Amino acid sequence: MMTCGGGPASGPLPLAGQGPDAGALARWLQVRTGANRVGIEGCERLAGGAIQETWGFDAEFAGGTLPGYHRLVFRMDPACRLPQGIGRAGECAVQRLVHGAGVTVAEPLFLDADGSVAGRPGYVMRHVAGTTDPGALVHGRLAATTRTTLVREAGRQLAILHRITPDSIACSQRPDCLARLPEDPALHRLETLERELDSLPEPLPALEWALRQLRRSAPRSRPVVLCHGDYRIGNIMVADGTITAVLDWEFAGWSDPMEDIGWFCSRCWRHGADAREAGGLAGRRELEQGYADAGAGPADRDVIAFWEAVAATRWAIIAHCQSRRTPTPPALALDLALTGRKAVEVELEAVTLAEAVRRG
Amino acid sequence: MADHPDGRTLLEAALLALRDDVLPGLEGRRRDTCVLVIAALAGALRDLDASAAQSGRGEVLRERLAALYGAGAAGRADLERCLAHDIRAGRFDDDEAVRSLLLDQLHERLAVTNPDFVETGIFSRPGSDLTDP
Repeated sequence: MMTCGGGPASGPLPLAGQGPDAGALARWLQVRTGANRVGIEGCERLAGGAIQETWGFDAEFAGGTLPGYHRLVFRMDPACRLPQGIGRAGECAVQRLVHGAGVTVAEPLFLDADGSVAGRPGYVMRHVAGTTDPGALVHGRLAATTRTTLVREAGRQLAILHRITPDSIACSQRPDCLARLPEDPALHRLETLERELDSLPEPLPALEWALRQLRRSAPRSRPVVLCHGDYRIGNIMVADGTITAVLDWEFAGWSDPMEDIGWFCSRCWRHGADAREAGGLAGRRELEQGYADAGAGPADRDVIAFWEAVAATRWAIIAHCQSRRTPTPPALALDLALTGRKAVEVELEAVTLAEAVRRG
Repeated sequence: MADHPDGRTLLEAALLALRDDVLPGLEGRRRDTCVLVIAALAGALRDLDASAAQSGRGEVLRERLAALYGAGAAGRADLERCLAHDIRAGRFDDDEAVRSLLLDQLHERLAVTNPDFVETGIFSRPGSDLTDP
């Protein structure tokens, strides 16, 4: 029976490689739950980003800590992992942390750190229904009031997340991936981007120019909170006009809270609906309203402008990196290759925004 | 004598067949993938058209790069590596000639990948120019 899934697949999926072996998955879950028997009834790749592999399945547990029938998801490293993220162990730990803090996320259940199920690290979480398809959300038939409600809720979710500060978690309870605190989040991000530029085979002087402008105008010593790192339409699951889960915690870490707002509002992530500055869904005032209503500090538009310029620069570098990943399976190549072709557009956007920030 | 049709003509015929004959009969994931294939073919066609037209312009940009570093300057790739290094080091802060050169380089690349972007600022989205089924 193949009944699991994250809603209809939307967006081009790579031709599926080998997912987790159902037998291995069942045996591993049996050990983790202490069940007498675990039945896996289907396993299929879910719609999602081009980076991680996410597989949905139905599981029936006889006894143990998770008895009964459950729709679950196994999220695992791709065959060719990007070096920038915090990995599946980090992602699972952060997801557990934010779930406990009240952010709307799928509850993570079990970590397979050593890859005993699929040969690569992964973790199991509960299945959440909905769509992440930007085409449907931005260009579909959602009413303007629904889009506004979604953006306010996106702001509220962000405010809940940003309540998590280094001081709010005991050092002993911090996941390893959150052990290090950046002294200056803006400079830390710029240095990270410079290292990523250095990893590319060809120089990209225009992006160096953008980074140089940003270095000269970076806001200094802003406080850090826990940030999502890739907060945008496409990583937010929506069903029936409400947010059902914030996904993809791969790039979470300590940073300036305005970085998440800048990324969400970046023109790169408006999916062609440029006039609706918050994710292509509604105005940025709606995002800021939801953010403030949930008790977060005021959004600082000057600082957000800096982070939007960083967002364009970062996305241009990611696009170059993605186009150079060794595709596995080969069908993945087309999606990533076309991303690489768009990089130059984002480079010009980065230069334009960085110069505007520099001019003040 | 070159065989006919040439590679460009074949690519264009393949693109038109996909767009006008195959795509309208597809839906869901297969349609999305077909849209990407069409975008890839269109990009390859623009590369072919641009390679001849831009060879002269590329040389002008290389000479402008070389002018920054004086006699004995190396090829374009090495010059760009030097330029990237020196920008990061702050050597060209507020240098209008370098800024102009960088923008012209971006425009040169955009002329191939998305010629309308400089004027419209609209990011490319594969399939945005195709009619929904």
